[in-house]
Amino acid sequence: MIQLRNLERYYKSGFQKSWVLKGINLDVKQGEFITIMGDSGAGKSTLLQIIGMLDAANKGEYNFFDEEVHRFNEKKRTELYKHYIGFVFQAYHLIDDLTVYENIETPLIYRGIKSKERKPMVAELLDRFNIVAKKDLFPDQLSGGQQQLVGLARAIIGKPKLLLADEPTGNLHTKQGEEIMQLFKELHNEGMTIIQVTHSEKNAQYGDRIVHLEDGYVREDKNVNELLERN
Amino acid sequence: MFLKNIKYAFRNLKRDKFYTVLNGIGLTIGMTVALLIFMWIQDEVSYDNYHSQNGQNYLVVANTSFGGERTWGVRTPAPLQFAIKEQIPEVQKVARTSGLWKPVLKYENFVLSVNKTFLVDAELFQILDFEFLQGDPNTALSNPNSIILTDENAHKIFGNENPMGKTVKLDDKLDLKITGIIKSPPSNTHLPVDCFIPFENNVNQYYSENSMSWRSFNFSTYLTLRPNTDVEKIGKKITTLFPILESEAEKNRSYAELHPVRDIYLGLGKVKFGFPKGDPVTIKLFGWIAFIILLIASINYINLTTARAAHRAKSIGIKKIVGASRSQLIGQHVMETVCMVVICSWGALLLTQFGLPFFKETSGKEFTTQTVFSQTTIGLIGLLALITILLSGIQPAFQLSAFRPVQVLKGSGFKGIDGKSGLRKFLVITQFVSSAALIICTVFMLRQMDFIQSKKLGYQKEHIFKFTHNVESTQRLKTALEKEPAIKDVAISDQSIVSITNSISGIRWEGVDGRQDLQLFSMHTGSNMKDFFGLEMKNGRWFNRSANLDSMSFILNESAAKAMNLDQPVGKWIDMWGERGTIVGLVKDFHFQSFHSEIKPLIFRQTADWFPTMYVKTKGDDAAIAIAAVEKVFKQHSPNEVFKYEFLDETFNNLYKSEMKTGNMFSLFSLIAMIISCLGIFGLATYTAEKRFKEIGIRKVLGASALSIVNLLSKDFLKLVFIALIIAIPLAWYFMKNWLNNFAFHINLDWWVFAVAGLIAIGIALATVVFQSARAAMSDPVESIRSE
Repeated sequence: MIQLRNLERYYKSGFQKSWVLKGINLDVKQGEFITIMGDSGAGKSTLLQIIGMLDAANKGEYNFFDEEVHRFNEKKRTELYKHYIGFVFQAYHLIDDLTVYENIETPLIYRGIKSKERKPMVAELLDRFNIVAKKDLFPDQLSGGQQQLVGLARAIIGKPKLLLADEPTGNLHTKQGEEIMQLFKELHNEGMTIIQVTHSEKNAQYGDRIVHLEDGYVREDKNVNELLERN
Repeated sequence: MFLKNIKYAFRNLKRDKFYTVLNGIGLTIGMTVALLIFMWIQDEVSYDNYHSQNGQNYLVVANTSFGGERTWGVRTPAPLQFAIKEQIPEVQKVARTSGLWKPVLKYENFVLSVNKTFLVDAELFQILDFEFLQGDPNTALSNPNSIILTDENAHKIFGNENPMGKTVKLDDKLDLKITGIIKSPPSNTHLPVDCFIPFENNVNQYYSENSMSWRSFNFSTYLTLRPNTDVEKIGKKITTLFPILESEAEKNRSYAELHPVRDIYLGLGKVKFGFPKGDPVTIKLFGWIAFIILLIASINYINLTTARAAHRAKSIGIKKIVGASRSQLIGQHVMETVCMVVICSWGALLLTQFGLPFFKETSGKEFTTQTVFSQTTIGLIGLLALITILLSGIQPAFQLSAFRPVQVLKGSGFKGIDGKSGLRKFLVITQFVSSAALIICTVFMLRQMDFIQSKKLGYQKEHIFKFTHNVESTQRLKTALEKEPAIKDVAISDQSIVSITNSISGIRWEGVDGRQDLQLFSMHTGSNMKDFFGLEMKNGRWFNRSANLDSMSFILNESAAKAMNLDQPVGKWIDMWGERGTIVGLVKDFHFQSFHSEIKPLIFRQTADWFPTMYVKTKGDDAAIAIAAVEKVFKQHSPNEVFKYEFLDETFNNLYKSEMKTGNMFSLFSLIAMIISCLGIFGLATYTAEKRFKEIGIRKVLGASALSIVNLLSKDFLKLVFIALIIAIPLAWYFMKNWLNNFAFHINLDWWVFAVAGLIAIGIALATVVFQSARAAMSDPVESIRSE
């Protein structure tokens, strides 16, 4: 599904380049649940954003379902991720002016799906996540966990092939975090490809593969089972 | 999507109440002013557009030679009509009109003065559109003693009675039977009318005497051409109809052109007198002002929207991440502007409605509620709304939708937005260049008007009113008036001293050979004129008391002596078409025409035996007693005339009526432009203070004085206003130089006026900005820091 070859991302300041990512090679198969780990500044989020096509690499190749993403311009990338990728963020990033219902509905609107078809889709997710009662509230009226549920619902309503999550439980306390991770696992079992960034070893266990980044390099790329065996 | 966008737009507008209200006020006022201007322009350009045959309707304008000067006029000789009918088959219809001089209608004891009474040929009704409520346009004027009234006048005389068939008396001379009632023509016509009377009666002695004369240019000739006729060719044909008069040299021959009726109001710039005239330049000027005011209001909207973009950036970024395309985001933001503008349009309509009486006072145009809610006006406001949306909605939508989602995720602040304020600075400067230039122009316009009113005319016009009369023995009336205790003095002349228009030419004088083409303005007056108006003599003397002694004496003004090349005019002879007289005095130049023109040569005579204009100087300030006294005497001498008086101050002001109106409207609009500009920087200053709330707190904790903080917050704005001023001054200078050139006598473009106007502009801007800055500077620093 995804192939990254010799990916580089750097920032220029004056004549100096400072690398965030260097020589990244990564293959993701459909249906995998990958966790990216590493210290702060290791380049985890940047890698996620490049995979999510919000950012572009300076060098190297990125193939997504055999499309050469590194050759795309911004507009074409947008077109692509709009249909294949969903995002979940640590800070939820809900739209403050919109209600829960409207937040979840938004991606469908931008895809031009008709109101009649949108309604059952949103209703289904509200039901599945147990937030029907909250549908007319605004984000600032919700707890963090509830907000992240909405964020997740919004990310998956368009039935993306790939779900990207940047520290989805980072702002949540343990119980809420577990709830969210459980949902990720369910989604994974239903066949969704997931890539998450996290600091938490425990959350990493929900996935089936862990990629360790260090100063912009891939230090380690192992199956969870292998790692478990090693411990 | 569409409905969603409207819903979201309202939610956004509601959330930022302060800025929404600020923007709303600016846009509403701006649109109101623009709407009023548009309505005014619409009215100006719609003159005579209601005649159904406008495409083929023309007025004959003639170029005639008078005293060596060629002038265009809207009057032609009476026989022209018959000649055209006989000899130019391309002309379908032709008719003349000729105004009567101050006519009065009488019915039983009711007297009505009907100033706009015309003698007409019945064919006029087949050329121009008049709506007959009663009577038949084809036969209404068949009887020479018939009259057509407007419904308005009929109502004044007869109330609810049916006026048809009743008899009214015109000027106490002639009984006329009412044979038709027409609807009063709309206000936007070149030919406002009270009554129509046929030519074929003896109401107008002048007409009876001149009906066959090719010399007397006193009739307007209207005609309808057959379709597809070469207009220019017809004009040339009509020229050939003018006979060559014996005394006329070839170069003095008159020639004619056809002018479209539709275009009489705005297109007859070359004709000085005749019909009410509009000024295309003023229309263009106000059109631009409307645009500038809209632009200023739109700039407020743009600046306040983009300046506060930071807090929008997040939701825009997220929307992009969840799949919004740029065009969808642009659509959403434009929709917000659309909602805003639509609300403001309604506000503007209401405000216009309330502003009408005030606007009438300023502009002299009367619009009714029906006009405000008419189709045309709704169309205009639609157009306005569209312009405003284009001006104010597009740029922010594009700028806001350009945010990259990664910036949001990084949470790295939105340097891109704050740093990109170059455009904003440019827009603020644009606003203040426009409003400062308008203010400077206003100051000069008001000063010029003031200059006109206070300038020494060379004669005294205070406490004097004038009236005209038909009394045969002027002397008897004058003597009777002089006996009244409330009256200080009485003077007589053949015309108004405020605006002398009669002139003569073709005279000889000592030292020249043959008749000269020189045009001399000429006034007949009496022996007390000099003292009455306080005229000053340069040389010689004024007329003697006994008119007989001085029947062939002349008095010149300085300009006349100069034009005639006479160093010592007193004692020299002048030959007026065979009769020789002597120059007895030289009077100092005074302004007997508007300040638009130089002082022209003028000659005083007292040979006339009829002086229809009489001036009365009142004793002291209580003019009412004097007026009542004059009216009483007037009624005794001329019981059937209507007594009408006018103070010279008023007559004088009428000379500049159009400039005054233009000036009034201009000042009003400039003021509004300035207010809207200030609303804009008020909003920006508020936002800056809000944004730098924490910084201000820290600075204060570190020991900054309130003054230094006010300075910190205000100086950026003042810098912009200052730059704007530097650009505005030469602009205003250029416009004012052109405008003042319309006046032969005008003020100078003094540098200090620019300085004062500039200071006013900076002062207003300063007051606006400092208010917000000071509030921020006075706030408790602890609060701002704690809030983090």
